[in-house]
Amino acid sequence: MSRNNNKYLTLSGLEPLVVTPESNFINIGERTNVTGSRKFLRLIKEEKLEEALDVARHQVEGGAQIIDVNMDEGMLDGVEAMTTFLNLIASEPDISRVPIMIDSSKWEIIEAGLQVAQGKCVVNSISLKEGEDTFIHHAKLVKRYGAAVIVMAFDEVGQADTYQRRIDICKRSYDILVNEVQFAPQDIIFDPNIFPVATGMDEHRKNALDFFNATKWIRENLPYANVSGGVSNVSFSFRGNNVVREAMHSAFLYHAIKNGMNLGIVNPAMLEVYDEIPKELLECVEDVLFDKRDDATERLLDYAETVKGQRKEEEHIVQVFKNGGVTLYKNALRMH
Amino acid sequence: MVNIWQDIQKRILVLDGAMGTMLQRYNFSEEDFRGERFKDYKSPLKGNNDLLSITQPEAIAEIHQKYFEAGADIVETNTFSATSIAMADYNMEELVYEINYESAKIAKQVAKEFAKQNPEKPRYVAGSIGPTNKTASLSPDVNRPEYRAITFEELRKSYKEQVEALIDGGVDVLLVETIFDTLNAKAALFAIEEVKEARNITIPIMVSGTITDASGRTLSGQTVEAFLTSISHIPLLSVGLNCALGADQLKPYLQRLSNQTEFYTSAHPNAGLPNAFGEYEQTPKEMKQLIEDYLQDGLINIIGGCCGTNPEHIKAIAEVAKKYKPRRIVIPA
Repeated sequence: MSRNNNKYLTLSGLEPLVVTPESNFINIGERTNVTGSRKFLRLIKEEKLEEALDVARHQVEGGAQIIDVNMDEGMLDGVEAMTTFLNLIASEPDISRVPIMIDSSKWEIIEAGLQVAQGKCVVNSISLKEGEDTFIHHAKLVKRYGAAVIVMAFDEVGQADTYQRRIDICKRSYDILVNEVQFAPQDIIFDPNIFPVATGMDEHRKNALDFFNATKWIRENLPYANVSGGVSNVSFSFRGNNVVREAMHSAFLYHAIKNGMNLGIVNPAMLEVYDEIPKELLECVEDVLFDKRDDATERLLDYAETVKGQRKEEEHIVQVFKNGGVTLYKNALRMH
Repeated sequence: MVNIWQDIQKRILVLDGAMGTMLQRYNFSEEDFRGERFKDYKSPLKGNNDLLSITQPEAIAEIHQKYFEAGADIVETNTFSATSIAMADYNMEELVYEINYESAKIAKQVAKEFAKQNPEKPRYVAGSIGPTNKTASLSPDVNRPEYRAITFEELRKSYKEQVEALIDGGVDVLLVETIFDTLNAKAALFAIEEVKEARNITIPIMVSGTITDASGRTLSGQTVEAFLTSISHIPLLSVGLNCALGADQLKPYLQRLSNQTEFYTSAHPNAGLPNAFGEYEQTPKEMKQLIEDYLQDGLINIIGGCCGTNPEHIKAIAEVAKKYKPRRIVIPA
């Protein structure tokens, strides 16, 4: 009955969003991000704010349950851009009904966002990159502003790129947050780094597998904590080949959800329906994701050559996220 | 001071009724508002009710006495508009500290007298922290939706000044109330946390939102559940609803709040809805019956009145509150 006591991540815009085991997977819209969308960047730069708002609106209509807003671009005054855009969103009830993810690598931009949002937001992100003092300072403020937080698997040494580094950094971050800052554990969302696979580099072969395993470990060992990630990274080496990329996103997401990833930044237009991935392609992709064979990358590259330049029909892809959540991932949902 | 945590487990606590409704009975003139001290003040002062804590302190004390006599456990300080932001209407930003401090002292003095007469029933003073007259998440200008008349920082500083003075004046509880814009309330809670940390103190906090109408939302558009989610990051004594609606209209929202929170709950509804002249006509007996409905359903830990209520209403509410056990905080399986 009570949300607090069940310790589910609970966010709000004009309406609440409770992340329960039954909500399966929370889809974070990524189009209102100047670093990820050239179109959005152009609209912000040209001050076409009505159109920029349409981007946000379409995401929510398309099923995004949280919208990520990022204004990190050298040519922009990030504090002003974040403030203005979030203020505009606040006047559009069809957008502001969902919670906001305030995304920036600059603390002053994050704080500017927190100061204009009445709902319970998610800060994206903080980490141990600059040491414990800064981490604790930021975490205390996030708590005082009443937001949840994404914690990157990143420390003073660098980004976690192995299974062990991922779980060590997440564990250390969790202990500091829960024990020293008294941060509510259900308000912690770990991002254990989704990195590209099939790059041709040996050290990248376990990137997906390590992510899956780290996710599973976090969900089993760090009580109430959540796991999120930016899915499109995984297919970085196949830029330009949407057939392969979409299959990779879909298969990755399917397995990440099974291992406990319960939120994620996913572009629904870049996602194949898992059950509809051609069998041969799926096998090649999963061999890569799980590092099953020495020649997995070559085999996927070979397959990729055969589908180069094929265009996908937009229509059915969008269906994936209709009605909120990944409704067509029926198998994944049941198994999770 | 910490007793309220124990008292609230034992019984339903009664909050007082309206201050403004009671002050109207005194028919204070411009001269009365000014008193000797502000007789030459540059701005008109009639209507600045919070100033009366300085210029008519006996009247304020008398109102607190009447509510305690009626059976209130908690009275609210006469500080609903005592922030630099709201006081700007009267050019009285400089007096904010003094108004809050004196208001707290007056209420605390009366509370002490009552507690002395009846040590079995401790009396508490809640520092009233209103919403100010500006909204941080709504634009006052339809043609400029990105514009805001007030920022979080301005609110935070203004609330901090009020909170410091209320605590210095000796309040037992802080009551952030009549929240029509959750962002304003978050700034108040931010300020309170800063003061708590700087002084290394704890103080119980009550939060009370306002559902504007049958839309079931705050003025800033949030549902009851979204509002609750937005303010639950701070450990609170209670979360509740007040103003805008009568007890019957408020009930469904209170029910939802009570279902969702593990904080204690409060309600101080208006005496019904206002008539065409803006007057509240609900009688103490009528209001008592509606409140009894809350109590039967176990929705409430703290109950009082807002606009249009007077000591007769509070007396009737206190009588019925005595008969029921407080809401139990349900720990779900």
